[in-house]
Amino acid sequence: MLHIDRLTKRYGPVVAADEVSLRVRPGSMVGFVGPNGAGKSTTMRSIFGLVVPDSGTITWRGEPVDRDHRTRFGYMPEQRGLYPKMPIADQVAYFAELQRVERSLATSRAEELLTSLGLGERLTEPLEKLSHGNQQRVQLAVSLANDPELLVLDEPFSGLDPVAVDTLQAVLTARVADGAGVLFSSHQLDLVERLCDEIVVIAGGRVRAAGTVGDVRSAAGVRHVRVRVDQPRIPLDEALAGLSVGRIDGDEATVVVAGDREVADVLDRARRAGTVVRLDFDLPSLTERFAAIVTDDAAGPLPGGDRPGGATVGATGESGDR
Amino acid sequence: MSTSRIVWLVMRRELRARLFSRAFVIGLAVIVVLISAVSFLSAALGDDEPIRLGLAGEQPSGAVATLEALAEAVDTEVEISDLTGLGEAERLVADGELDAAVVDGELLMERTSNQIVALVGPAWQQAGLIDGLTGAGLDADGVQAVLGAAAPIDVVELDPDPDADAREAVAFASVILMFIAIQVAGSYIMLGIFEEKTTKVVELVLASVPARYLLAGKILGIAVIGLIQVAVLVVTALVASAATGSSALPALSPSLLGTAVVWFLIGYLLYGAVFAAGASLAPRQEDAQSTLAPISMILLISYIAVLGTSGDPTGWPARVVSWVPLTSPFAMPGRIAANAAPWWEVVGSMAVGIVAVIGVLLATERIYVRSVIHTDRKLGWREAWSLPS
Repeated sequence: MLHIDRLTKRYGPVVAADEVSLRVRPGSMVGFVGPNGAGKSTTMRSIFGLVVPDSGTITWRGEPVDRDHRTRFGYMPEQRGLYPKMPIADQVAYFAELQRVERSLATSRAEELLTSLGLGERLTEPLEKLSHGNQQRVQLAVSLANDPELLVLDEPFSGLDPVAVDTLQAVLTARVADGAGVLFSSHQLDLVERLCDEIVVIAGGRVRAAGTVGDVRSAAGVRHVRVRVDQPRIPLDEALAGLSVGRIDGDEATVVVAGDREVADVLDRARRAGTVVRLDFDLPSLTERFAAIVTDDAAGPLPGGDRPGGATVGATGESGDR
Repeated sequence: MSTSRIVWLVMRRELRARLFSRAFVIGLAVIVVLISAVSFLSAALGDDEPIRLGLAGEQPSGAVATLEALAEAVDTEVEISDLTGLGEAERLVADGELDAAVVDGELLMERTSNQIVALVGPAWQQAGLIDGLTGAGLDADGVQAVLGAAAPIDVVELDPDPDADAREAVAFASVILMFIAIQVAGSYIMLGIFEEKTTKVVELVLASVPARYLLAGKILGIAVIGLIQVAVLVVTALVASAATGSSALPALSPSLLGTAVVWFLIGYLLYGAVFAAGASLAPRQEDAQSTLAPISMILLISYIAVLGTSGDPTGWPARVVSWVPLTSPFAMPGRIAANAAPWWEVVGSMAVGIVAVIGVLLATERIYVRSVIHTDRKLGWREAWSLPS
């Protein structure tokens, strides 16, 4: 298991990661979501020693991660890039060899992987001769070349066409079924919701929510209560005044409440208007939760440091994402 | 994984990527062609051809022997052919088949050559004198003994080194070749590092390989390529000078070739390391120009300084530039070729060069390791130096 514990990294006044903690268990897929500049890349790069944290620990099976461990990890950086003039099979084999895979195995695995990704006919072609989509496949093959026990993919779905998205999903699901742990970041919440056993929501360098998708949706205690009153004696908006009423549609109203107890309050008030014929409550969707978290973040001050003025946020945004 | 294996993997990739690249092969072919062309051209223009002399009619006895003795004394060859008469002599000299002909005591030439007059004149004079004296009843052996003791005169060159010209040429050529080799290898290092930064592949490499091993593998791999280049240059030069019968061969001593390899490595590591550090600062082509221009300028100025002093390899400017590490890799091989460097200067300047290389490599490692991962912006030298590693 990979365990990141209270990882903190500052770049001058910007706190890129603020006590970030997360775990990736073998055979599980963890989605890492958050707006740009939230600290996802900083966290992922620190797993590979590309960022040296100011504090916090990263352990693999209880030991601090070192170079030996990393040879069993696969990585796809956010900034894609390979050697443009190197034949793709050589390229995949080279990275496998750098990860201690023995030469003949590296060569045969490179060919296998590329063939399985539909590039079997082009093994000796230099990368630059391939289309953008095929270059992405080579990048994926490189991350898988050492048959990793842990896969760390930074925005692997970005820029992929729908077919490629399906391929990548299938590859990741297969790896997880084989017992690998997968950590990937994404903006595509539907994908994350569908694929991931667990998600970690990060904003402003800080983990705002973590756990299963259900955990995250329920974590804030927010419920969407829908109540229907049979022929209300007083208008529902009047009866429910003071609560955060979302939508009123004749005899039906949706109210956002902060916790289970407030559901009773909604019920009491609705009864004043008439006979309650229907009451159901639901968790907010992941997208709604995500939006709420990010909005909170934008509204409140950043923990651990002052965000520079509005004009400079854009300029520092890039390094904030490192 | 052992350090050496990682460094070897990086090296091997570097070797493969360069050796089989079209640019490398073409570049090498161009250099080979250039060197061959220059050698053949200079051989064709050179005037150490033998003097072709035709003889017809009566010649004083012993004239030819005296001529050959004279020619040998001034290190010139004479080819002698017998002609049927004046007609043939005139025709062959006019056609350029012969440089000169002697017919019945007359020396025929297309245009007067002082060299030929200086050789043929005294030889015939002396032989005619012997003939005349013996004809007057003197003992031929006695006359020969008296005259032979006086002539031909021994020629003593004030420069005791018979290969001086060749050595000077080799010295000059070695400055140029060393500059080419170091510049080419240095730019390979620069481009290699640069390619990794601009394509961002460095992020992936550094995820499994420490930066200093990547740097070491790259520098070593390109050193091998550079040595291959130097070897090709030297072999081409040797073959070309052997084929053209150039007298430069004796100057290409094994000690010169051996020290040239050491000097190439010193120069390559010195400049290559600085190029490496510079390239690691810049994420884009535009940024690279401003960082690397001063380095290229230093390389060029060093080269020009050495060329300017190479005419007088024992003078103090030549001695200074052969001790300064930035110029010594160009200057010292030339002085060694010109036989103008005492051994202690060779060893001493080499030691200074090696110390400089170690210092520069350590500084480069510091800068490279800190800056190469920053693919998002250009760094300054000072900033890179003080970044946390």
